[in-house]
Amino acid sequence: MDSLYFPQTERSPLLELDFAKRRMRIEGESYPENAAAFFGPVLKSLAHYLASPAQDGSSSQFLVDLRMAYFNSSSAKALMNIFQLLESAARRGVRIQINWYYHPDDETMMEFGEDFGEDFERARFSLCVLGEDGE
Amino acid sequence: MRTSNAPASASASWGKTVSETLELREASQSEEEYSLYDHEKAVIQQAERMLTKLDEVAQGVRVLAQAYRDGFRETSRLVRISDRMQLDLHEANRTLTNQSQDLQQLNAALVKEIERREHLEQELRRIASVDELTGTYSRRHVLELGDHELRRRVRHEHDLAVLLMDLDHFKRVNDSLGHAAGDQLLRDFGALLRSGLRQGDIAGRFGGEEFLAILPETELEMARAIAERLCASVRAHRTEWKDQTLRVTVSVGVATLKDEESLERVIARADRALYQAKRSGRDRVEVMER
Repeated sequence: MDSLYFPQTERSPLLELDFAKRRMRIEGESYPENAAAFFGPVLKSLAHYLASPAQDGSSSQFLVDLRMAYFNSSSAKALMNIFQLLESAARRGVRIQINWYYHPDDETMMEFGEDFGEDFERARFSLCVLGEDGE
Repeated sequence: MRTSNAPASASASWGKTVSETLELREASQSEEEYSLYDHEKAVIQQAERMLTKLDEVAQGVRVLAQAYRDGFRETSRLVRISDRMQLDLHEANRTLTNQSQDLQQLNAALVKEIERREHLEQELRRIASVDELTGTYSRRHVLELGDHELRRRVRHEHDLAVLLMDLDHFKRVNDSLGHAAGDQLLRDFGALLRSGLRQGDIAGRFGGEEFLAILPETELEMARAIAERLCASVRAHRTEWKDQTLRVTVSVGVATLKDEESLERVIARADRALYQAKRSGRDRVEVMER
């Protein structure tokens, strides 16, 4: 399956969906003109990948790194759709790890991370504070 | 009549009870009739009642679907509105951030400008407080420093000596060899005066070829000794001017501060001593005794 890569723009985040490395990352600000058009292909690819037979075994895994600086309501909806796909996959036995990174000064993103984290039962969701060097 | 009627009435009421028990409700049916299809009729009625209930459930599902549709439409509208408002807020926030950065830059530039001006002011103050030719303080500044020493002395009760000095026959040099030659003599005297004083002593050009030195914490005899040494060093000094060797001498008046005296008063007494030195033949030190 082809990987997806969208570089960061003023209104949309960096988005990488790397099926070979079994990982996904979203970084930056997200308030695209058309959130459905931006996140649609990602949701479709991710759903297809997670549903594919290779992902059915319990040995399979998937890593998601999120470093959001800002997102609007539509992007929040898109993120929740992504989280639903991940949690469903986790319930089928895929080992899902989601890291929610936030800057130590960014109380808003920390609270959003805590909020999203409550929805996960089988997928692992971790809050990670970014260091001074952004790591 | 009553007695014969009673069994018929009882029989009728019994028949009604039976029919109710069998749930036969045909209005036309006589109370005494029996049916062989009670069960079938009951099943049909049961089925009809279930159909009615299914219709009710279907209607309920329709209402739920409509409510869900309405709710979904409202939610997506709210998200659209929310996105729109967030965009405005986000852009306003970015504008504010940029303005804040601009203000910070402006502020940094202002701080730099203030520092530059303070530096300039210090430089101007230094220029105003120092006589450039002789490297001694200006008249105004030496008086300021003298007043400061006087206030210090009030607290500490130390002696304070004043030397008033005037180069002898300076006008002759100026007139015969020009101002440049006179300036060179003044420059040399300034150097001799500054090197002849101790740390903490204050030397200034009082005007023309007249100089004032303020010696804090100095008794009269010490002041006299310092003045004599200066007088001798000036006498021994030679100033090279073009192809000539110039010599100059200095007359010095010395006085020390009396108890509550002002700086002007002690300078005036040093001036009288200086006058005395001039009258006694110049190139000498005269002391104004207390």
